[in-house]
Amino acid sequence: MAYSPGTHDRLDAAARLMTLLALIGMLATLYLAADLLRGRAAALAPAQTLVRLLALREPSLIPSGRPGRGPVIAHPAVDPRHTPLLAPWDPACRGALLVPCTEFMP
Amino acid sequence: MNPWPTRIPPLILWAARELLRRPGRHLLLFAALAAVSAGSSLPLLLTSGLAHSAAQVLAASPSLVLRRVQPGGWRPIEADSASAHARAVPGVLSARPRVWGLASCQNRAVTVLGFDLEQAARLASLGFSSEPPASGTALIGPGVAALPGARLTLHSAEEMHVTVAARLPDSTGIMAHDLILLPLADARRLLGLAPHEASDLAIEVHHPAEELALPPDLAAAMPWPVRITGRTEALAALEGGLIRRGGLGFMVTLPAVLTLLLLVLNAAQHQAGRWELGLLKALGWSSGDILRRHLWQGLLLGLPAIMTGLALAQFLASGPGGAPVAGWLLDWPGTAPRLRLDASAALAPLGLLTATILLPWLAALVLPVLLTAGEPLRLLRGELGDQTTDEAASAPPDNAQDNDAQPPPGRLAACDLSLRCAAEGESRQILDRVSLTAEGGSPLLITGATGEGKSSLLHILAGLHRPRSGQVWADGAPVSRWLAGHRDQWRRRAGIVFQQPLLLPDLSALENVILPLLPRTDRISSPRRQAETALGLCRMAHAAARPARLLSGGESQRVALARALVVEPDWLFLDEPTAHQDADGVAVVLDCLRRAALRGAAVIVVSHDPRLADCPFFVRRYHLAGGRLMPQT
Repeated sequence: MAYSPGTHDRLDAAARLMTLLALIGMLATLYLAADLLRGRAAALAPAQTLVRLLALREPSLIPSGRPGRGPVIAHPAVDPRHTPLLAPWDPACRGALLVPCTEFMP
Repeated sequence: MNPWPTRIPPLILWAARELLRRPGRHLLLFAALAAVSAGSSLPLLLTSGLAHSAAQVLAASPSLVLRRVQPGGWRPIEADSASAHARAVPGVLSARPRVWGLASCQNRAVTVLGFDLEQAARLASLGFSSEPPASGTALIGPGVAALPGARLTLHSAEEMHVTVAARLPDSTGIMAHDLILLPLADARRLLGLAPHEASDLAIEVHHPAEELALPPDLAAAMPWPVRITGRTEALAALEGGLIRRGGLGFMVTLPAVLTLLLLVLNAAQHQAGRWELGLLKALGWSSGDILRRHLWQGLLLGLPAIMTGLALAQFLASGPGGAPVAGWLLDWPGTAPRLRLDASAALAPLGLLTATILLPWLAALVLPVLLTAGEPLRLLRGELGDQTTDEAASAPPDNAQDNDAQPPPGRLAACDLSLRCAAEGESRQILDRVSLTAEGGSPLLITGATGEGKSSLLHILAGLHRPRSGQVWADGAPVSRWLAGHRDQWRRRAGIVFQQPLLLPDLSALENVILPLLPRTDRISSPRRQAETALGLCRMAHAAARPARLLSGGESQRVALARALVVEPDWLFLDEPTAHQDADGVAVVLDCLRRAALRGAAVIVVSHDPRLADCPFFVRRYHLAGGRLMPQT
């Protein structure tokens, strides 16, 4: 068989694989960079407006012993989500599905 | 003709070729690396992004929040008098009473917040509702499952039915996920507050620095005990909690990372193939060349895999796919918060993840190279069928301190070589003060019975092995004194054919012949032509594309000869080069050796083949017996 580059070795296939891997890596990096850099401020603007308008301090990210939220990450000293009006053991409190937690005591 | 691969440096191209040798395993490794990087980075990205986003939103929140406390819980405040007391404190910009609390709705807890008429108008003007919400209506957060017009039943101090006027947009979810906004009077009634009462006081200060200074003054100004929290405190608690949670998620995935690394290490050790490393070193690859090839191999596979995993994690964390993870990490019910993870929030976890996975991955790849950076012959012994161990393999020659010795004449000279080896507990003198000289263009044949040490002598002459004593000089340079790395470099100018062909079985004949050229060239096109020429000289051009495992013994030996000749060596060492050749094959081998000799190379052949013993091609002949080398006429 007459020799021509690539017929007796797999170096051309290796080069194609390199290109494919580089392409995958570049596409992933580009997606990552584009997603990290786009429209960040716009996404948070409505939430910031609401916070300013209503003087909110209590993000929904902070769980407060409500069902479905882990009380583990609540900081008892600053977590204001526990109702300020009722003691944790109050029946109304239990009616609101609150988890009794004495750590909320001042 | 495909010209573009020729522009890639051959070592990098060969690293990609190595990936093709075991495509299934490497595909699996790619998927495993991508999965581990995605799984590990998702909790970190999500929690870091949420903490960062929440912190940005909270920057717009009140500086201080003041609550009245009493033994047993919180107490409502007198809205007007508390505001007046607060505003009287120097440094306070504004004090706004807030009416809020928790209520049950749809069998779970929600936050109820009251708004006044002015706030209602602003909510409408900002587009949160089409018209200012009236009494008996409510604005609901994106986490409350109800549509505009639906009726909701709220229960706290008393039960109340409200109509949903509008839903807050998803983009407010970070603050208002389960928020229900009611007109102030409705909120007071639901929470059991009197018309003049409020839950707490939101206070703004003139300057952020006063956030820390004002609480004592505020506490002193109030007629009842208070609890005052600052924005900084809230932010620290928020970030600390979330990052703890993210760290927990990362820790959960850590065993997966460790398992993968162990698998990789195991695979790398096998993949590296100790004898293949030894072969590459024998062919003139330095440890640095092998290290570079392994690093490129790891980077070619590892970087795209990790970046793919990170991009997948980013897609899941910032898109709807993050809901299950948010639910797992934060116990976040329903749709995940719509967040954008920006560079400042994501770079640290991404960098950490990349380092955590990529560095051990590369370390696992280069470790076998570092562990086998010594004598190549040790790695090849198993393949060569040599079970002996040299008693002084790593020790310098006995006369190594004799640096003033004059180099003997000749292209290659051996002076008083001695070697002692142990096999099965028995120590034996293999070489006993062996000396010889080989000139360029004067082929030299060493004969001897099997087991007399011909191969050992050849290995010492080729710089693969150090003698117990004595020296080998090549062009006046004391090769046997050099460290293994220097001898590897010197061997780039030498060609060697082992007793066994030692071809890489899954590579084609042409690729096997290209191997020694790879570290010596910048473009792959030239090695291809040289390898084809060398195969043609050895009458093996017809089998260039054939995998080495499909070659016969004689063909393999001629391909190995082509591999030695392709570098146009100044020294050519051959161990039984005609063992598997028929008469035509012997003629081909001798023709190749003649060409090398005519070029001026020193050709040293060891053989017990009688067809070579009488061959007039050899100018000098030696016979090795009992460890002594005798010249023959």
